[in-house]
Amino acid sequence: MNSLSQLSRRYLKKQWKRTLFTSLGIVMATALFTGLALLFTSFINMYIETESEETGRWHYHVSGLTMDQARQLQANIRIDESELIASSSQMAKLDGRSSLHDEPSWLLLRDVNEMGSGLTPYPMTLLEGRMPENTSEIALNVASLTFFPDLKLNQTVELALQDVQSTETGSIQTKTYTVTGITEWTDTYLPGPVFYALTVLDEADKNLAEVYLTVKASTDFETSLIAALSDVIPALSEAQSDSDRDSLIQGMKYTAFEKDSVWANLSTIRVGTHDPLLRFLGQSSYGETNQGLIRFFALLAGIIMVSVIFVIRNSFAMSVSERTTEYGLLRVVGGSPSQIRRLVLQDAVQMALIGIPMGLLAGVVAMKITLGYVSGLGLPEVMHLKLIVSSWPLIVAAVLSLLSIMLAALSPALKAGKLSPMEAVRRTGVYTVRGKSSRKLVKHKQTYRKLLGITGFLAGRSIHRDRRRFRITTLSIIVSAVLFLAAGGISFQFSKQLLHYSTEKTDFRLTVAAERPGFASEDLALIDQLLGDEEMASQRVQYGQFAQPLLHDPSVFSTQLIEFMKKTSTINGQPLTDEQALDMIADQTMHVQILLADRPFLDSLGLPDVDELWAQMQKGKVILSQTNALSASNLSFQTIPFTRLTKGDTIHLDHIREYDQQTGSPIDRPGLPVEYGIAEELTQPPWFLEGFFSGGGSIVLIADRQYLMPFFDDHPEISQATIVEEKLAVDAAEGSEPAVYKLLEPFTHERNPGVSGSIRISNYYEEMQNARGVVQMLNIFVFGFAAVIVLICIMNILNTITTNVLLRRRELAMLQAVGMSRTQVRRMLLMECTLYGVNGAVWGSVIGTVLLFLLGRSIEGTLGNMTLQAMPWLLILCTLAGALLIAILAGIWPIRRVMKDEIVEAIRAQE
Amino acid sequence: MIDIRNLVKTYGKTDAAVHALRGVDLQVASGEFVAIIGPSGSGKSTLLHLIGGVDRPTSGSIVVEDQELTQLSEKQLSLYRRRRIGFVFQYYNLVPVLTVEENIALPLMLDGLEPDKIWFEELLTRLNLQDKRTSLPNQLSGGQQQRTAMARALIHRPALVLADEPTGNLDSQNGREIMALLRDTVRRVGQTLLLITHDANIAAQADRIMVIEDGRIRPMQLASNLVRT
Repeated sequence: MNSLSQLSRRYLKKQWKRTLFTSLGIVMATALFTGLALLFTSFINMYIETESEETGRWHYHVSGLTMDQARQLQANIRIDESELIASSSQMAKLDGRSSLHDEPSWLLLRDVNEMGSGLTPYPMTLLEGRMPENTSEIALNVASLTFFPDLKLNQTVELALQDVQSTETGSIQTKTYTVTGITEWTDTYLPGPVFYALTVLDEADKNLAEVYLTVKASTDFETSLIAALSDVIPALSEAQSDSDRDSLIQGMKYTAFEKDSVWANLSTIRVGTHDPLLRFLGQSSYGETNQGLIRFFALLAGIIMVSVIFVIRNSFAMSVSERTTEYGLLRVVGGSPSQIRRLVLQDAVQMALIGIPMGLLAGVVAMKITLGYVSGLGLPEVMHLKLIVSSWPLIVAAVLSLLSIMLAALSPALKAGKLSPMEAVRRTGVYTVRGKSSRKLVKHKQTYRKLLGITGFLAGRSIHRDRRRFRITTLSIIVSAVLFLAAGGISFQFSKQLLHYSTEKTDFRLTVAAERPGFASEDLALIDQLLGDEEMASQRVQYGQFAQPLLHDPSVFSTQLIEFMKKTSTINGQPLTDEQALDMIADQTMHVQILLADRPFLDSLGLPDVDELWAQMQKGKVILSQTNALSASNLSFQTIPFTRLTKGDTIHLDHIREYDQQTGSPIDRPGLPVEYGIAEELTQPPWFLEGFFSGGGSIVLIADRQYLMPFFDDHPEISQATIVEEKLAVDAAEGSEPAVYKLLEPFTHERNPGVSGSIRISNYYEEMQNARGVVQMLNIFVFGFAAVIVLICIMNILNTITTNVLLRRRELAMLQAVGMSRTQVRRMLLMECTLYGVNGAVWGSVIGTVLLFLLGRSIEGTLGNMTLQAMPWLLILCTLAGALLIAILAGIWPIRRVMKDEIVEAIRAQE
Repeated sequence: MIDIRNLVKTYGKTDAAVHALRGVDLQVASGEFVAIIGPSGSGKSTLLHLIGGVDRPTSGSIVVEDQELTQLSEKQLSLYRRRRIGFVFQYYNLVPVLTVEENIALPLMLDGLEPDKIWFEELLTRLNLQDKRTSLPNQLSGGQQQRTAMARALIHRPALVLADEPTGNLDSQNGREIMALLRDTVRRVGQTLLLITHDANIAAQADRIMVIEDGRIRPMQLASNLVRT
């Protein structure tokens, strides 16, 4: 073995160029694997960080404990961090509007001194004022302010407290608190409609305890938790079976609302699992590990592995064919087949030893740079994306590389072992025609000659002399072309999708939720006035808006929409009937947006005969604007009308729709008794319309605000249930968007989201910027990976073409000896490269395009609308040109090298 | 036909220089058949390569059909090789991807010409290659390959045929056949034939035998006389 490895080392040194190429391939492959593994861990880390920040770092939430139990649990050896929430069983029932819940809402008094480390979901922030310092002070959650209209700081509130622990209603105690602060705290995860309020509790009042905790690192978090709980709750340790245990601690997913009463939730011992976080820690109790992510990365790793094995195998195959005589000689002097095999594998091991460490380093450095750049884009989506270098990604990458290399070297090694000594020694070094290629070759008659002259003819013959080698060379080009095309197509599609909002001209939209139309619109008018003739915010329009559902009405939806639905959807793999398509459309209930317009609004639409139209609108007529549905037929974006409605039609919208907040099911209630007669139809949606790019399309009716007002006034129950928003859309001048945002921002106060009177700002400009950033990031990753694989393939092409040329030195010399000029030789070789390129490029483009279609199909629905909307001609053209260029460039070096050969030297070399 | 004066060819420089030819003078008349013999490394092949225009001399002059080869450009040299010379190598040197027909027609194809049909057929018949027209070199025996190479050297009726041990790689039966074919064809067309060989029997068929030794050439008078008598 020692002498073998010496022999191997000597050969690698002698053939240093090929060794360098192959090693470079190995370095890049390892770097790719490393990059991928690091990206995976970094992404997982990002998800964990993001999830922790958004919903807390806790793993489990145990409720229904006594204070003693809770404190014991906190002190348990298996528990790492924990936070105790001590609450009083005296809860305040809240009066006031709550149309969405049949159950009453409650205020749960939490002890401020038991506030912990921010382990809990939705860390609390103090918006105004200060924290309570004694038992008669309270800090209210901003979300509960709806129940305390017009409340100011330092005012007192009277709470009707009742002990929910005692049976029935119990005695009600009234207690007065001074409001010292307003906190922001999303209590979504609390069971039932309950809001936290912070106060100082007497020790005697602390009779409800919950603990948010993390368990210490272990292989199975859940087992640790149950063990810890068993220490605290004797009944649990006595439980014999899983079902006994389950009846004692009920697992619950934190994503679902529970319908039990508040008390039932708080008094029973329950364990909540922070599944979104645990999933990324590999500790999900529901088996839903991050399979999607793993599958995606595994797919990428698979692609890399296949390309890498293919390239490296090729390189070894070349070296074996070059060393055939040497192996033959070794066999003649007594080398065994297994020794020859080991010789080839030795080469592989030696190159792996050099290539893998370098690749690991290169991968880490490349990822560091890439992620550094990506985080520089400042995208909120990947705020927590940073490079995490740990040992296992590096080990995985090294193992994958080594595995690829050894697999790649295996078949050339086996082949070398099988060489018969005679065959090997007899070879005269002529790069001859391979057996099976002969018949096909002769058929290649004269087409090339007529088309491309004698050099083209010879080139055409030459490339087909060895079908396997031809396939290897073209396949490298095909793989490159396919990858480039797929990467380009994916990125193109994503950008198109993400950046489609760019057709929306609105940069900012200020929205005020109003209880009835017209309410609070003055604020917006004021802002509008303040902006005045500011050139930066050149286009502005103010309007009111509310929505009503367009219920199941077959006569309204357009046939095109029904056809589109049938084309794009299936039920259990079966095509839809008209009826089903209609049901599906109705299910996705499209809302009709009704815009409340004033005269300046109408003027801004730039319609002819505005006076006449306005007169009609004052009598209740409306303007229809259909933002179209998107159709993917004919491989292009196509907008199709959403309904059959047109000028002259009348539409009744006699319902309003609400959704039950607990079950999510729709509740339909009677709507305004208005008949909307369509006086005009807009061909283009106006610039400020929301959701222009909504795949399903929508209908907008523009009505006179003053005409609709009385209907709201006459039906207070409807006007209370209908959310009317007043909006001011602003289109800022190019480049001055940040300045305009600065002007608008102070007017908005999001203190009371969803509460009337507060102005909300939608920053579409920033969304667009973010979308561009995301596209850029996607491009970096998609093209980055594709580029490295393409680079590996280029090396393969270079390797193959070089060998193809260099193996034929004698043949080329002889062609010159019988009178072929150097120019002709050069032209012939370049032509060969071109033919390789054309072959690979054409096949690559065809396969790549098909793959792109299939890829689009397969991820349609899961990753959004990814259907290839149009033939990416430019991309295909680039791919074609690129592949051709690569093939020709790959030929330049070997051609220059053989052109330096003296004819006589090459001839003599064999004689 | 050929007029070589004081031809010197040295490979390498100074200390390591190999003097392949040290002032060779040789005149060959048109239509003459000259055999060149000599031990390995004596410079036979070098001389042939220089006359064939695949190599350039260090000094001296080579005039073939009134053309001074040393003054030809690379391009002119390839035209010279293509049109004036027919080369037959010991190792056949056929283009592996071309059929027998195409290999034979190669020198003409390089000029964009088609071979003279009658002559082409005659060559195929004489060399007994009619059945092998569409075969590739790897489907031929050694003798058939050499016959193809010969046909390629003769197809454009070059004035000068250079053969470098054409029978060196063949068994004696095949060798004799090839030689007879070569000699006959050359005679018939009136071509000049310059042949390198180790085989005294083959050399004996020549009009004149030259011996190269240590880079110097001299006629092999005695041997020639012996054979003739």
